[in-house]
Amino acid sequence: MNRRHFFNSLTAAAGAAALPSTLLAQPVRGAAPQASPLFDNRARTPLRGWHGQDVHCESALIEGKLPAELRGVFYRNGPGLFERGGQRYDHWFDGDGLVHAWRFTDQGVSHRARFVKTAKFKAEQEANEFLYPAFGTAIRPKRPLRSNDSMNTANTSAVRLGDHVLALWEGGSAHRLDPETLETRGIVDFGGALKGLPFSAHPKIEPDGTFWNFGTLFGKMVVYHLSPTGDLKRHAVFEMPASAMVHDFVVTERHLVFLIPPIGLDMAAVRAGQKSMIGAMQWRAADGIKVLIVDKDDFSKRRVLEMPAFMVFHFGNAWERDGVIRLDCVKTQDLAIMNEWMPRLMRGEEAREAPSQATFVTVNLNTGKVGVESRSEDLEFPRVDPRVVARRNRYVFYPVAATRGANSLDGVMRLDTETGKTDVAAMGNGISLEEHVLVPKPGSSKEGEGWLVGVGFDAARQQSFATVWDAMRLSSGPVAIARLPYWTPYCFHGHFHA
Amino acid sequence: MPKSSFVFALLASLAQGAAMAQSPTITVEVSGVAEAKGYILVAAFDKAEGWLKRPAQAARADAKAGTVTVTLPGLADGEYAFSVVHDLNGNNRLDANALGIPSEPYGFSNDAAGNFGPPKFEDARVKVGKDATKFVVKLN
Repeated sequence: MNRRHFFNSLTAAAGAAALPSTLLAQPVRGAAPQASPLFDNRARTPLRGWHGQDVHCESALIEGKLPAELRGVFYRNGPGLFERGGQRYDHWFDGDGLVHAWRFTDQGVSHRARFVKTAKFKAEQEANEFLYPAFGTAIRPKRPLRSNDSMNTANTSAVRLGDHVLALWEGGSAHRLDPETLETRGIVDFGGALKGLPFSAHPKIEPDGTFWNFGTLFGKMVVYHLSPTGDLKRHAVFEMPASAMVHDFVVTERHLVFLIPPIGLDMAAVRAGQKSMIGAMQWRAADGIKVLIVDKDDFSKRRVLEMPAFMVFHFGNAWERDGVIRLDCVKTQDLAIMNEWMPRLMRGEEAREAPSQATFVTVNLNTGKVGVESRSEDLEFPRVDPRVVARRNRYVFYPVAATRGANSLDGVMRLDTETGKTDVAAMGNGISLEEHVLVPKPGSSKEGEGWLVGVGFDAARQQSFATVWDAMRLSSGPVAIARLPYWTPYCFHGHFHA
Repeated sequence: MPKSSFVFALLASLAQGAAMAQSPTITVEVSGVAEAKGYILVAAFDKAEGWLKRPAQAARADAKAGTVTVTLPGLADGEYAFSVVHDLNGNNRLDANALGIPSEPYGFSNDAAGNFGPPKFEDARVKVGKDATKFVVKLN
């Protein structure tokens, strides 16, 4: 479906409800996002970032019809501040965490966004300048770096766990936020030797709430097994195959599985302040990927297999039968997406990225053989139905570059991994979509029965919005769009909590 | 970051007896103390060799929220670098987590900042003499 068709069908749908345009003008608290002299690309305005303000919109403009059963909070997180005192970060990953709550209620959809008050954010907000090195920008520290948490931006994902929403960042501790107000309450401290250990932004939550996570730093890995309410049940710290970055992982019925990409690090250049962490990364294709497989019941039972190199950030899901693990992820060729493409975007340039492709890996634990297959679509941010995490799944959902010539992920796609068939909808040029998550329909039990919910940016309107799709009928177009009267910075990841 | 660079068991011995009568008493004002728990440890180092390992002089005081003043009696005139630790659990050392990264607050004279490791001795070095007896170190 092209953009014109999409908007025509939407107009028809909205026409029936005859929504008056006066519903648009809603109170917005917080300063309006300001212009930046350091960034000028209206196609990617969200990369301009905000200036530390908290924003609240009582009621987004609804186009279409919100499903009556879709109720809950969609928490998202992403880097929201890129400039201080005339200095702009070189990299998208560097910005301070801005957590969003999109609330779906009987009154419609509200939006609140609040910066995570990390120690770094508070100190830099007060000083009106950057004080600490960033992941992708080499800055000589102006305050002592006490630990990895001195650089903690809490900017990568948000998930509800127990009484808090956690703002996650892979290099350090999780931050605890109030689920209602999004105010920062403190950091998660597992105590003793675990204090300050990295806690990744990609925990895997099984349907019963069992919560798995990991962290890596300087050649060591920690794995965590948490209860559904966030109590630490088990953990282990061990040496891992060397890599400067392990972003995500997958869980099967029996194993935790890591694809460890061959990323070296010129630590001397980082210490000397010459290079950022990302700038100091070195792609070592000849080393290949190390596949680390950890037994869920006994973390000391570990195995490493090898496969040819590619770069991977994100995984969809994994499951296993008879000693054969099947997992899906999104691959790119190497580090170029991170150390070339993203810095160009941050400078306001329009650059084409190397494609990111859905990739399927088979790990045969009986033979030690690893197989890989990829599809051709350009996509990212895979998610599956939360009811199939760590067990056999059929579908994977992605934002996808759906319109020929589009320089963004302008559509959504459901992939049927059994038949290879896809269900795709395009929103067209000028639209960039972010991660979309599946929210099961109450009372349903079948995988995929639910709504696909995500957010995006509309360059023509310079506004951000949330989308709701019938997950099994994406090509029919969105069921509803909730538009904000402003734009927000892009997010990375989040979770919907019904 | 190598474990050894961050784990400095700098106060294994609190060298109380080394005071030299003719030298002025040095005070180190430690700000940014988050809570009244444990001790504030101060160590003075007089050379790059042994930096964060073998202090020339060390002292401690009870922690209280805000600013804590620690006195070092009798440091001979010269150049020193100070390290400060908020020893929350009172074990006379800077604790580290399973990755060797400090898990208690610390700081250095000159507010010297290391980049993914402790700062150099030279960056934290200050002059100590009869006109220079008060120093401020921030924990942050």
